[in-house]
Amino acid sequence: MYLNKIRQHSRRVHRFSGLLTGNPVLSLGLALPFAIASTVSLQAAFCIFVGIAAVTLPMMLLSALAGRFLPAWLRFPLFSLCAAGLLIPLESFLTGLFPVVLNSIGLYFPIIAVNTLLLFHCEKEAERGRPLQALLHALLQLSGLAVVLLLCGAIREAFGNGSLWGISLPFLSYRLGGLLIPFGGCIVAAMLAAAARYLGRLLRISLYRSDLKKYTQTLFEANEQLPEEDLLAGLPTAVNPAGLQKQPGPNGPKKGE
Amino acid sequence: MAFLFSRGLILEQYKEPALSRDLRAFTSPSAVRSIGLPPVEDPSSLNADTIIAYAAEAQIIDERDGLPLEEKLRAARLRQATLVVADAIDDEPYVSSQLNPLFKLSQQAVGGLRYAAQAVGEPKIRIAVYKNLADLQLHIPNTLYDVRIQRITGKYPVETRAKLTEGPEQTLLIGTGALIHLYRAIHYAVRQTTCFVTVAGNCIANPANLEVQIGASFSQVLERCGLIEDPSRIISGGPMTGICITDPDEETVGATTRAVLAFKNDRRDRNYHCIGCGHCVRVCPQGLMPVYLYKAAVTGNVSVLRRFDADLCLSCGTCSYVCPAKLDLSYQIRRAGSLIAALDDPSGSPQPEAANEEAQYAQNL
Amino acid sequence: MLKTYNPPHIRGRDSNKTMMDDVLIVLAAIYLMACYYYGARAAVLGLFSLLVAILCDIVCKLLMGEQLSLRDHSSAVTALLIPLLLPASVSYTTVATAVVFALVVVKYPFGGVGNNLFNPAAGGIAFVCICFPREVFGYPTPLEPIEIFGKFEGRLLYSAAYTLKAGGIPTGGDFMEMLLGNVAGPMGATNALVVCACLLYLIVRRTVHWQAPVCFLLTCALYAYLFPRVAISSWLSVMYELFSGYLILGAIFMLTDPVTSPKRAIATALYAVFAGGVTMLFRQFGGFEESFAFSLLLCNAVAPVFDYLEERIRHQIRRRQRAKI
Repeated sequence: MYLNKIRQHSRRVHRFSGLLTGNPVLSLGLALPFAIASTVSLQAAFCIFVGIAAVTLPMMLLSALAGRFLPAWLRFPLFSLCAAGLLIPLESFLTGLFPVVLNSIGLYFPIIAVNTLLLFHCEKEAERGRPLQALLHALLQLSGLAVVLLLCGAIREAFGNGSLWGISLPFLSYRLGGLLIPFGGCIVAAMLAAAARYLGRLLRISLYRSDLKKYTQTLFEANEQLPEEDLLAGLPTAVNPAGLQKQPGPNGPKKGE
Repeated sequence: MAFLFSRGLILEQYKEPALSRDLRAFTSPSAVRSIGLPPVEDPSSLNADTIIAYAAEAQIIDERDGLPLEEKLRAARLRQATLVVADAIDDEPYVSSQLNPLFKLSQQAVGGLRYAAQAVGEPKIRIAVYKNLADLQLHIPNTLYDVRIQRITGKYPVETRAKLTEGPEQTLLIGTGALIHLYRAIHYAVRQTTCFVTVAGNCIANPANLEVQIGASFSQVLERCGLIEDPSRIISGGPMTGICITDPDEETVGATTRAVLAFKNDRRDRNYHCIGCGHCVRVCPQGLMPVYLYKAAVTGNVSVLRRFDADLCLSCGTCSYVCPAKLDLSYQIRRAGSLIAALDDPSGSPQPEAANEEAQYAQNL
Repeated sequence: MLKTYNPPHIRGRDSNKTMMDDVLIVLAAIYLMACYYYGARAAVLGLFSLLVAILCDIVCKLLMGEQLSLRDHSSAVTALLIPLLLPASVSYTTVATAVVFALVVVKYPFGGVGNNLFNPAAGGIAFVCICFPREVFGYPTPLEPIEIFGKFEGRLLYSAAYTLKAGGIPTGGDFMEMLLGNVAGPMGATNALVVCACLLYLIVRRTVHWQAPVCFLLTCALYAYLFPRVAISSWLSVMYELFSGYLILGAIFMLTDPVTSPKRAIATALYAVFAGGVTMLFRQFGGFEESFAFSLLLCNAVAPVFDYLEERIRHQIRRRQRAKI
């Protein structure tokens, strides 16, 4: 089985989990309401992201340092309280910068204090108790979150409102109002998740195929065909989106084809 | 009126010309085997035990269900059956291997019926014939040698659900072929070495009913009636429940083979998906839901199969017939049902039929 | 060696294609009526949406890795149904949006033909109602010429549904007018006589279960009879409620979608009664003047429950019968 390159790739990618494989919104499903309901415009997405980032980083550091010494039933309320405490000055600061946007976000800003991203990772870090690793992990998760939130916000604002960051784009005159309600947000987030999965699969399959070719070319002569043990050969092309057909084995096409 | 609301199918029968032609023989004279008992000169001297002894010596197999005739007679005698019926219900299209011998060898058939009745006790005797046969050249009378012919109405499948006047406990159904062999055993003291088979299909030059030596290969039988085209499928049994023969030179005709059909069809695989139209649910004679059973059978969901009663399936093939997506409903459900039965079987030994099906399924993949 | 086939070896003559073709024939008849009222624009809208649907089909099937085949007419049914639920004055981009949403978001991500959880036409119409409510609910005058391409510049009327929602008494016309369709309304849904004839054809051909549209319309009529929305007589209320909006058309084509509705007869009848109740409640308390698409999406979500309940009851009956034997 020619899985070396896949394994290397998996290990490499896993180190950056948060951005690629463990994307908090698309893979783990954390902080979904923010991605779906409040990313109506790019500015709103940015504000939400700033809110979550400003809350998650310190709280994860704190939980890595002190979480072990707290009883389990106390961790969650304490973290939420601290997060709320951080959010209050942040909200007044952002209201100065983006008043209209924060008004439209409404309830979703204070809810950041109890968002699942924070709680999930704080619990995990409290178990491990390594602050530097916690910081790195938080940064990666937040960068993954940033990509998703900003992308959602950009798409919904561009196609729903015809603008980007409040500046109206003249070439996007066709407006789909349905994208601005949470129903549209669900669809956009789902399509993003599907696209991410598809791209990841495409990458893995091309890696596998290139590894296979290299391995078999060292065994056979250069212009031999792939052996029949290609794991993906018999599967329908939905699973194998590279669309490669089953190569005939060294004995020629089998009877019945 | 009840016909309109009953479940099942109305099928085109296509029984002509095989039904009205003479019964042809495809036997070898050297294959006649005698039994240990002498032929009976005086039929009135027979009693029930003698008849059953003749049936046992002749090793007669009833072609309806593959059971030995003497077992059926003994069991019926024990439960004191009050009605013995000669089964000439051929409800599947093309098949007429019980109806044709009934009318071409009617003396033997009715004689056998009377002997069977005598073996069971003092029951009433009847002959059951399927009513919904249009386009026949043969005229089916109301009585045959003073035995009443009862018309069985209903949609396919009929044989398993035929409503005879007495209940299933009181009735004994015997196939016409078995009765003919019983008569011959008593009068000529020969064993059953032949069976009655319909050869039909759109590849056959002369569709007919044959009396075939048990053990003849399928290709011999087909050539006896003449092939005008290379068949794409050869079926042993009726078109609704028969199995495909892959090697006609090796496989042979048995006592329960009621028909050999050869078809050539240019139907292409359309790869349709199930659209949930519900036609299969409407026609299932057992009232099951083939649409969900099929999906559970394909994915192997045992709990759904149990909850939806997959083991009540008769495998009549009605659901597959009406499915507009041309799915293999009946086959997959039957497979699933037998797998569940294997799961429930405490002995845990795999049935040979199940192993054969697995091999066939693996070949299909 | 011959190939093994599984029994049965004879099959019925119907196929997926013939079932969809029945629906297409019926839709063609309704398009003829729509052309009679609104000119060639109706037919061109239909053809345009069919083209868009074929393109979406090709793209989605290639993405899914399925075989492309011209034999699958289910997308064609969705595409031809959507313009009939919209006014004839709708712009081409709106129709395209509805069709693309119906196929690319509602149908194919869930698995394609036979696996969709919601009716694609209802999903497309619902999305377009939210995005462009003024376009979808403003109707041109029937029997007046409309230009074939380009945006509609004439006067848009309100339909009887809007008047009922606003609390007024509609003055659209009497029974004959509403039956024959000389009123403002969705392109295919105004002529109730032709639509009912199409229903009869589909029932006789066994493409739809008869329980679904009949029970649905009876429930709606009963509700309209018992609780008129405005101060008119009960029979007038029944007439207006049934003939305004696209209730009958939706009952025939959208409610009876085989994939999303129950399979058993009694379950279908109960489902239709439930759908009728929900639709009338949506009409009374909902936001839009015609919200059948939204109520249908809700009912599609709960359709399997009816099948499941009936199957459980039958399972108990079968268990008792088995125990008796």
